[in-house]
Amino acid sequence: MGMRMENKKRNIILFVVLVLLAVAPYLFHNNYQRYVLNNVLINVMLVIALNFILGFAGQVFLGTIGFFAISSYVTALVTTTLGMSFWWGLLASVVITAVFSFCLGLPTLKLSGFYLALMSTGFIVVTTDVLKNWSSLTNGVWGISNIARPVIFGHVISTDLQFYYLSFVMTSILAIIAIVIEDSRFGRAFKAVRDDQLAAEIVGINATKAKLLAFILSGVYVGVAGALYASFQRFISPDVFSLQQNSLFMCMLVIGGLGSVPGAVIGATLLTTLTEVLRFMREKYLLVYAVVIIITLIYQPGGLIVFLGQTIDWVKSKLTRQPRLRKEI
Amino acid sequence: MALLELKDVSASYGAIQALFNLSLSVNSGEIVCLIGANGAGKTTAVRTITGTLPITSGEIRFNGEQISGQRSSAIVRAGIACVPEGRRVFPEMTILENLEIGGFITRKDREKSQAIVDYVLDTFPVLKERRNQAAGTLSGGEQAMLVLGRAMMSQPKLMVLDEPSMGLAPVIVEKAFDVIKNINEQGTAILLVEQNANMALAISTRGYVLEGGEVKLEGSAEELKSSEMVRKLYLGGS
Ligand SMILES: Nc1ncnc2c1ncn2[C@@H]1O[C@H](COP(=O)(O)OP(=O)(O)OP(=O)(O)O)[C@@H](O)[C@H]1O
Ligand SMILES: [Mg+2]
Repeated sequence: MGMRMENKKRNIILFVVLVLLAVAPYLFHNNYQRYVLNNVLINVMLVIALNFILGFAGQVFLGTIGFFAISSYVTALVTTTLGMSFWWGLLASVVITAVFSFCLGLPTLKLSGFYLALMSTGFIVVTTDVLKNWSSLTNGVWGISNIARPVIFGHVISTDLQFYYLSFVMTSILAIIAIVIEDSRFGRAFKAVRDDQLAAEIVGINATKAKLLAFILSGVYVGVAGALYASFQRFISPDVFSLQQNSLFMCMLVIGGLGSVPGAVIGATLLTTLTEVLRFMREKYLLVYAVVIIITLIYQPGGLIVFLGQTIDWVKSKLTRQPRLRKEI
Repeated sequence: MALLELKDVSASYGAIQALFNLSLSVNSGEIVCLIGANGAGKTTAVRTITGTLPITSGEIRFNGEQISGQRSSAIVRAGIACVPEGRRVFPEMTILENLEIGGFITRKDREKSQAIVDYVLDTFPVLKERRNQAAGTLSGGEQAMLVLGRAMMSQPKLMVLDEPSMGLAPVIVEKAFDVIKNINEQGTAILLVEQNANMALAISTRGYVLEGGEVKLEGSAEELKSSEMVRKLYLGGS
């Protein structure tokens, strides 16, 4: 949560990052790079979703990958077993994931901290177990293939580049909605509950409603991300949705800046690419993350976003001081 | 009809009963104080009024409506604001944001909200200077001012203050009490919980003395000031 940043600066940083993401496919244009970029956007949506619960409302529920699995499978099933279009899959994913998220938010009314974290791990394990073992519905460990691609005005989104821009539009809309929510009454209610739940109740905030709303919003965001992911991959199986992948989302948010939407975007973007760069290390890349997290927490608990904000201030002060100096001379 | 009325209210923390058939009332326009030693049950009484602790028997009425059993948010909306024990500012929010969130339930009257913000900032220049700083960086005394301002923001009919003078320097206590009097003169009734019986009785119309979760004594401020028991226990003897 770290330090505060004015809205204007936050908006500018978010805008710049989105512009960079918009041109990224032309800076990195081979097939592999564009494939990775698609995953970057999916992760950006997921980390913004996690930020609603963990960053804004301060609830240590870390079940993102469980919701992501549910959401991906809903779109997969709707477009294959039911044979409906991607858009129906998207709608179903959003609704069903939001409902699941709401239900898993209910225990936060009684549990907190450690117990909540433990419960999220249990949720993830149960979810992947169900996906593996309910073969009649999910096809078990073999997964589901031939998931439908989106069709827009009769045009099939087939290439990675087209898919990237579809995801980019959705990501941008979701990111902007997230900061609008942050600045609204609801955003203030989330943060009040996070800072001091009792004090929040005393100023008239219904903490129960606030927490559940954060979970529902998170579910909606994961719903969109999962639908896009399933459709982009065209094939999904339970082993993608691992606890290890889940811990990456937390790393992304903490390193980018807990409680900050542009921080979530930056963290997800940098770490998704870093993971690709570190592929040669196999599982040991997590070691690098651990070190980066520790350094972040020691030197800048607010994450990269705070560091970025301070850098901008520093540059600005340099730029404005120079002319005055000249005048004095 | 009293604005706030507690009738035979009992409350417990698990197996420990902390309030025994507490009855008290606050009329419109009044300042009523609730005094008592550490552990007497003052904060417990405040918690039952603000809905943060359920009562086990009795009833609490506000403006004629039963509020016991309702959520805190509903009680704030009904018109009760509270300065809780230990203040509890939102440490990560700025001073201005802390004030604004005090008006969370009053969306209607923006002009009045702004007027209250201005009043609070003008009354406490320290807060004005630092209005864009995180409230967690304020001193204890400054936080006390801020929370008083935050409680005003919901434009309540009744304000419940749990030891607003705790840990304040005497000059600041006086200033805080001036503000409380001022709030009262604007038409807000006040239930003032205090250890500082001297100061509390000086601005109150009536008072209650709590001991072991029960009312031991009640009466007008004058009566309490001259009562042997209050003099011995809370006003430093003589
Ligand atoms: N959360 C709690 N759990 C268990 N017992 C509690 C709790 N809070 C208060 N008590 C007990 O209830 C009794 C009344 O406490 P309360 O906080 O109401 O006293 P108080 O009059 O506000 O005291 P002080 O002047 O020290 O603030 C005390 O015996 C206290 O130990
Ligand atoms: Mg107390």
